[in-house]
Amino acid sequence: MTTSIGSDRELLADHLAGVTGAFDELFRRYRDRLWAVAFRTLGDRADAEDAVQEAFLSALRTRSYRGDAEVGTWLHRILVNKCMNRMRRARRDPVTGDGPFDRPGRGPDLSTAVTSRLALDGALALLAPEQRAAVVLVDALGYPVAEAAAILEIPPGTVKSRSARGRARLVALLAEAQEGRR
Amino acid sequence: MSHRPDHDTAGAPAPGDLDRMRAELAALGAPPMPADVTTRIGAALAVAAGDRTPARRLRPALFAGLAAAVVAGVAAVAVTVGAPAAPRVASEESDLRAAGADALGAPDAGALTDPVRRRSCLTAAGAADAGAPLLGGRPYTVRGEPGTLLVLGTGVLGRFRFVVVDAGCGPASGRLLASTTAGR
Repeated sequence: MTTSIGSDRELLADHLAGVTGAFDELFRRYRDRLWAVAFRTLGDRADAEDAVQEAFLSALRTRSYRGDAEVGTWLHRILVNKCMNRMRRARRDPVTGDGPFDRPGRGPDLSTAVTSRLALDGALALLAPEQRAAVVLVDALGYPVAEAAAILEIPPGTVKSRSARGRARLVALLAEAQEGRR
Repeated sequence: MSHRPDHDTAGAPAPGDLDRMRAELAALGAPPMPADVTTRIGAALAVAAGDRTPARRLRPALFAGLAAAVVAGVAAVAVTVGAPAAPRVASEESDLRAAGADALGAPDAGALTDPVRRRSCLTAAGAADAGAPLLGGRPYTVRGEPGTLLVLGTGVLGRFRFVVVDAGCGPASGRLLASTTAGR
């Protein structure tokens, strides 16, 4: 007999009902996607690990799920909020913050980055958190605008404008960096 | 690619630059979660799940579906010998479970990093899982007796065996000072 593995909603319902192992499957299904979002958004492996762990722990401990969003969207929301909080803290306190590019000596220097990829990673870190989240989801990871809007809980038009402004800012930042190396 | 704006209008990048930026962003790609991160977060979830009251077991078919990921995650962890950490004192099983989760990936199993010595030690100590893969280890004290805490894989996602053996555990003799399982 073939028994299909449950949908995300069935798994979450099982988990909330106390079924052992249901959450493991949700972790398996979403760990790579959440990792990619966190790593690209925060730009630092340790920060990404902390954010993803916090997000999965929050989801594991939840006692209620309203069901107004898909489970995947809900998990992404939890993670993105963790990432946004980290980015905002880092910007408020650039010396002691956890942001990889707010700490002296960490992260690529835009003016001396030796590869375009390093420079782009560094430039991403300089975007405002809201722009960074939109650019990472839509442009770097290819999420549909509608899905990104659901995750970020903003209208699709706002996702598009944040993404567009973010890309324009990246072009300007990298152009400035190239000029600085001349 | 060049990031110099290919036009002279200040403040508004040219469409070509924006298109290239889109392509560069897309080329960054989506890296999968590294195996060591998967293992550590899996352990943290297992410990946190232990605080919840289990009502039913996982559906067998679903449980079977997890096996491959489990084995992959366990096999990916490499433990190497490093500088020893300060011994810790255990008083409760919950302490051991917390310490075990913390020791996941720790490279301080000492002589028991050697798989042959570890197997003979665990066999002498009467541990049922003598051949289990080592996922971490560090010095650990149980009721005043120094020993070594070993984190052993079980082949099941999110389930780990935490075993404390005496400091001299080896082929000649071995004693199990404490043990518990985290997760499911």
